[in-house]
Amino acid sequence: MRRHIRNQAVICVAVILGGAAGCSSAAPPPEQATAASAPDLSEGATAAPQPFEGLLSTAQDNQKALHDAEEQAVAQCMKAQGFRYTPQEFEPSRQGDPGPRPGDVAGARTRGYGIAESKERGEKAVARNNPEANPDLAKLGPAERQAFTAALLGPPPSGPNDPSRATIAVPGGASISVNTNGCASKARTAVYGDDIRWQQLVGSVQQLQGEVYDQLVSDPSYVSAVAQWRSCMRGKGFNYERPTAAREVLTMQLNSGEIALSSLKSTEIQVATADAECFQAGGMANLTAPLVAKYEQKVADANQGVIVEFRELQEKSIARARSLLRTGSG
Amino acid sequence: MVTGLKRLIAVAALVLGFVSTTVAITAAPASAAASCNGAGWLCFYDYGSAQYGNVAGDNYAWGAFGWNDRADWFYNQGNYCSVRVYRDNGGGGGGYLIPRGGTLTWYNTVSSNYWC
Repeated sequence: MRRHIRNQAVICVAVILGGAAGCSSAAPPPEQATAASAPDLSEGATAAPQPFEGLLSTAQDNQKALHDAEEQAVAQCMKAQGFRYTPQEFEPSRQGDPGPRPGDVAGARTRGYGIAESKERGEKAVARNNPEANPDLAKLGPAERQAFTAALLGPPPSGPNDPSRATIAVPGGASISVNTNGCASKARTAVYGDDIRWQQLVGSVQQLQGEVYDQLVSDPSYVSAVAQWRSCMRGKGFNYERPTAAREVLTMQLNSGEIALSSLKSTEIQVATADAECFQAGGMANLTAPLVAKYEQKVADANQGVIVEFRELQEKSIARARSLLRTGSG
Repeated sequence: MVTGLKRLIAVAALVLGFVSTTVAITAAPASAAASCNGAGWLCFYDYGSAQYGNVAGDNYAWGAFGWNDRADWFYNQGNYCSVRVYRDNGGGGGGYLIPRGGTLTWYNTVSSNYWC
C-alpha cells in the first residue's frame, strides 16, 4: 500500500475547495480583480490549506518506514502461504494526488490541473493492477491467481452483506469492512497493531476532514469570495462557475476526444494558472486559511478523542514499523 | 429471477480516456465473487438497481459512465494499491480510503476514484 499513512492523513488532498459545487453568487457585484504577484513561487506555497494537514501528516521518512514495513509483512505472510510477493517500492510520487491544490500558482504553472499527469498515473494504476503485467501473477494459472488474491486479500465477500467480515462503522453513515485473514490485513495489524481499530480511526479522521470542508464552503464569506474569483476569471477570458469547474470541463473534453492529450497540457496550464491567480487575487487565498483554521478548531473540539488516538496510534506504528524493518520480521 | 442465477444482460466496456471501466448489468443481486472482475479492480454495487460495476483506473467523474452518486458498496481487489473514493468529481468533497481487500458501504455518494 503506497504512501499509506500519507494517504490516510491527507485523504482530502485537493478536496478543500475542490468541490465547491453549488456556490451561489449571492455576494455583491465583485470588483475586477487583477493577477497576484506571488513572491514565493515554489510549488504549493500559495495553495489552499487542507483540513488537519499539519496536525495529522507525517514526515516522508515515516511514510516510507510504514510502507516498507507493511510490504515486508505482506511478503512474509504470502511466502508462508506458498506465494511469491514482490514488495512494492515506496514512491514519494504524486500517486493519489488529483493535482495542484486550488490557489497553487506555481503548481498550476508547471502541472496545470494535473489532468495530463493523472491520465499517465491512471494508466500506471491499471498496469500495476493488471495481473498479466505483474511478475508475481503473470506465470500463474487462473486457479493459482485466484488463490494468490484470496491469500492476499482474504476470501472475497459473498456480497455486500457478508457477515463473516469485520465491519467498522465510521462517522457520517459509512462503514468499512476487512477480512482479517488476508495477508494485507495481517500486515496492517503487524504495523498498526490492530487493523480494525486503525481503519476505524482513519475513516473517522476522513469524516472530520469532510466536516471542515462542508462548513467552509457553506460560509457566506467564502461564497462571496467565489463570486470574486468568477469575476476575475471572466476578466481573463474564462467563464466558469467555481474553482475546479474548468478542470472538470477539460477532463470531459479529453475523455470525449474533443481535445487531444498532446494539446491538453498547454491548455490546462493556461487555464489553471489563471484559476490559481484569481484564487489569490480575489481574496479566496486570504480567506481560506483562517476559515479552515476556524472550522478545524470547531471540529477538533468536538472530536478530541479521535484525533488524539489517531496521533498516538500513528506514532506507535511508526516506531513499530522501524522495529520490524530492523529485525526483518513482520 | 431464480436466486443465485445470474443473468448477464449486458456488459459495456467503456474506455473514456484514462478510464478503464466495465459495468456489468445484472438482473438480480449476484455474489460479489461472481460479479466482481477480480484481481486489480475496484468492484461496486448499487442496491437500488442490483447492479455491479468495476473500475481499474483513476476516474475523474463517475457520471461519465452512468454511476455518479449511485454506487452503495465498494470492494477493493487491487493487489498493490489502496483506492480512494470521493464525494465530488476530481477528488473533491472528502472521501474514504479503502484498503486492499477492504469494502466500503457509502450510499449514493461517490463521484470519483483514485488509486494508490
